[in-house]
Amino acid sequence: ELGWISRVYVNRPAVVRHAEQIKKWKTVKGNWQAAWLLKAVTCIDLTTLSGDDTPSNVQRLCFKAKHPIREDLLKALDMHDKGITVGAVCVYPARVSDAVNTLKAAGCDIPVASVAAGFPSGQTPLETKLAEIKLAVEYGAREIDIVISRSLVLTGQWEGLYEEIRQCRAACGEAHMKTILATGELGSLANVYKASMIAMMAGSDFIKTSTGKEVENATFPVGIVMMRAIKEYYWQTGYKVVGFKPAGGIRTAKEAITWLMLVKEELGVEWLTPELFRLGASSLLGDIEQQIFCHVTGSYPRQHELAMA
Amino acid sequence: PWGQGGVQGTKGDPGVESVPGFPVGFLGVPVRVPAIFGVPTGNTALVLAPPDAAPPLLLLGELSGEGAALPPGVLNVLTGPPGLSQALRAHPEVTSVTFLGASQDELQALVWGSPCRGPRLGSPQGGRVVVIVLDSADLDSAAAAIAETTAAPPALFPWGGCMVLVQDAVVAPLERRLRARLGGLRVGNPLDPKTEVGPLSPGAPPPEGVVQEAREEGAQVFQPPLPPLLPGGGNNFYPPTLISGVAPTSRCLREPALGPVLVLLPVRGPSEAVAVASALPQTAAAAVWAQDITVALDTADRLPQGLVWLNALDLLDPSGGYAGGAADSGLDEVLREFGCPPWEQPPKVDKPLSLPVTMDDSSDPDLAPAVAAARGAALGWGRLPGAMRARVLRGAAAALEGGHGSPKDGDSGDSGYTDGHLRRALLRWAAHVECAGGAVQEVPGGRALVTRRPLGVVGVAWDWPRPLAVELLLPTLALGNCVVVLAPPGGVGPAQRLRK
Repeated sequence: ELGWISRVYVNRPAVVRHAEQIKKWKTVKGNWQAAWLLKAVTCIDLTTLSGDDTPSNVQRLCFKAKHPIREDLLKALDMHDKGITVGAVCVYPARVSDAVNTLKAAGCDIPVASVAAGFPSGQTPLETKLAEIKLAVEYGAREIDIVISRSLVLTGQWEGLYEEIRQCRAACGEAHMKTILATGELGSLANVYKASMIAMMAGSDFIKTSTGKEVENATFPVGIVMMRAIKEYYWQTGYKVVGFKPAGGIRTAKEAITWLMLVKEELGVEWLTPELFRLGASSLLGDIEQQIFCHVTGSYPRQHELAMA
Repeated sequence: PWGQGGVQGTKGDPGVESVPGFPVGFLGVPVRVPAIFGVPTGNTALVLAPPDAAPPLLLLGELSGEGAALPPGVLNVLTGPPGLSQALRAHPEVTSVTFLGASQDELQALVWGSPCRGPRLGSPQGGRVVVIVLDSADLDSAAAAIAETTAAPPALFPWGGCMVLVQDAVVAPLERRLRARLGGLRVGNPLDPKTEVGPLSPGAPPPEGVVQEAREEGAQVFQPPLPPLLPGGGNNFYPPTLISGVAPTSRCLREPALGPVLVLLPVRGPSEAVAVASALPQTAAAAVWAQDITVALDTADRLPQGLVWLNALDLLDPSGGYAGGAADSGLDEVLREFGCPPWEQPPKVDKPLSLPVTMDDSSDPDLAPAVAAARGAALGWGRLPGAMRARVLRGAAAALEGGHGSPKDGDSGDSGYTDGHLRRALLRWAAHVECAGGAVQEVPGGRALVTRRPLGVVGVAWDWPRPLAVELLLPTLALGNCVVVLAPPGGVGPAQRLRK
C-alpha cells in the first residue's frame, strides 16, 4: 500500500521540542517507582552481542535472566511469587543453542531471541540472510531480530524493502519477528516513519529502533515518530497491534521509566506489556536492581552485593 | 515595543504606564502578565485588575516592595471596577496605556473619548489563537501542540481555546488525533505538577452555554468525562472539549469561550483559510502548520494577525517583538523606529488647545469619496516592494525640484515647510524604505521574521498651528499606506504640493 507512505510529513523541530518536554516530566517516587521498575524488568531483552561471547558468559546471562532481581529484595516487595523474569535473552545465532540448553536445564520458559540477517550492518546478500534466519530458528530461537538494508531506504526503494522484509518473515516461520530499522542511519525522521510503516505492512511483530552499534541509538524523537507510526497503522488496519522496542543507549533506571511513560502517553496502557514493548539493554538491569535495592534497604549496594549478569 | 518608546522617542524620563485589565480568562497553571514586559525597559507599571482576576496579579505585585525583587513603586497593582480605567487615561502622568482582553465597545470608549495628546495607546492585547493546518502538515505534531495549547493557553493570549481551520483532505485524521490527545489530558489540581488542565478562572462564565448552543445547532461535541476526584467537588472544572461541524456564524466562533474549548472548521485550501481567519473576531495570533515551505510562507504573509507561528505554537520572542492584536499594532511604533516622534511633548502655547478633533461630521461630502479612493489604492500601493515605492518617492522629489515656478527656499509660507524641506525628506525616506524590509531575530526554538506591514488607509488630522503632522505624511506614505489628510485651513500647503 504505497499510498500510506506517500504523504508522510514529519516536522523535526516540533518533534524534538515535544521530546525535550518529555525529559522534564517528573518521575514517580517510592512504591510506584519500584512497581514501574519491576514492570520495566519484565520487558527487558537481556542482551549480549559481543565478539567475545562464549558459552560460559551466555550461561551466566541466562541464569541472571531467570533471577533478575535478588530473591530477598523481591520478597521485601512481596513480588517473589509473581514470576518476575526478563522478557527474553538476546544473543548471536552461534550462541543460540547454548542459551536454549541452559534455559531448558534451568527449567525456564524465557524465549531466546537471536539477531539475524547480517546483524549489525545488513550489508549481506538476501540468500545468506534468509539462511541465517532459518538456522537460528532451527537452533531454537523463538524470536528473531532482523536488520533491514538501509540502502533500500536511502535510495527510496520501498517495494524492495517490503519484499525483503516479507521474505524474512516467511523464513521466520513460527518465530516472532522484530525488524530493526537502524534509525541512526536512515537520514531523516520522515524516512523513519516510512520505514516503520513498510516494516509493519510486511508482517513484523515488533519494530526496533536500532542495533545498539550505531552512533546514535534510541533517542526520544525517533521513538516518538515510530510510536506514532504504530498508532497510525493500528488505526488504518483497525486491529493489528505491533510492538515497539527501543534498544541501545538505555542505561539508567530513570530513562527506562521515561520510556515507559512515553509509551503510555503515545500508544496507551495496552502497550505496556512484554508482548508489545521490550527494552533492549544489558547494563540497564544492573541499574534497576540497584534502585530497587536502594528502595528496599535505603542505601546503595556495594559492588559485590548484587549478582553480575 | 511600547515600553522602549520611553527610551527612544519621547523626551524626558520613561513614564508611567498603566494596564487596565479585563477578565484575563482561563488561567492555566502559570500566569504571566505582559505588563511585566514594560518594566525591564525602564518603565514603571501600574496594573489595574478586575476583582475577580486579582489574586494572581496581587501576588505578582509583591515582587515590588521593600526588600523584594524590584524596588518599591516599580510595579503597582490596583484592583477596581473598569471605570477606573477612564481615570487612568485622564491622568497626566501616565505615558502609555495598553489593554488586555478588552472587548470592542469598551475599547472604542477609551480610544475615542480621549484628547489627542495623552498617554500613548498600546494595542489591545489578548485574543484567541487561530491554527491553520494544511494538507502537508505533520498532523501528529500539530495535534500534540494544539492539545497542549488548549490545556494551558499561551501566556500572552490567556483567553482559552483556539480555533483550528483544517484543510478538507486531512480533517478526519486530525480530528482522530485531537480526540485521542484531548482524552489523555489530565484534569486536576493546578498545584500538582502532573496536571495539564486546571480549573476555570473565578468569575468567568463557564463555556457550557456556548457549548450547549453548539450542540443545539447540530455540531458534534466531544468531551471526555472529568475524573472522579477533583478538588472543590469539580465545580470549577471544565473538561477539554472539541466542537466540530460549526460555521463562522456560530456563537462559539464569534465569541471567545473562556475555557479549554477547541473549535474545528474545515476549509478547502490556504486561500479560504486566510479568508476565514481574517473574518474571525478577536484573534490575536495565528499558527500555520505545513511542511510545504512556499505555501506556509505565503499563507503566513497574507494573514492579518500580527503574530504568526510556523509549525509551532507559543514560541515567544524575548525581545518583546510580538504584535498581538490585529495589525493595528501601532503606527507610532514604526515611526518611532525611524526617529519620528509623533507624541513628543506638546509645545507650550498661550492659548488653551482647542477641543480634540471629533469625527461627528462623518457625513462630510468630501470625506467619503476620499476614503473610498484611498481604500481602492491601498492594496496596490501596500503590496509594492520597498524598492518600487522608493523609486516613486524619488520621482516625486525630482518633480518638486523642477518646480512650477516654485518659490525659493526662503519663502516658507505659513506652514514652515519649504520645497527644499520636502525634497530632502522625500529622499531620506526613499533611502530608508529601500532597506526597511524587516529583520530576522533568533528566538528560543527557532527564528522570528519581523516584517513591516502597511496599515492600509491612514487618516491624518491636526489642529495645531505647527504642521507637526506633515512629518507623519511622508513616512506613512513611504511605508505603504494611503493617506487621507484633514488639514485645517492654512496647513494645506505642503500637503497639496506633495499630492501634486
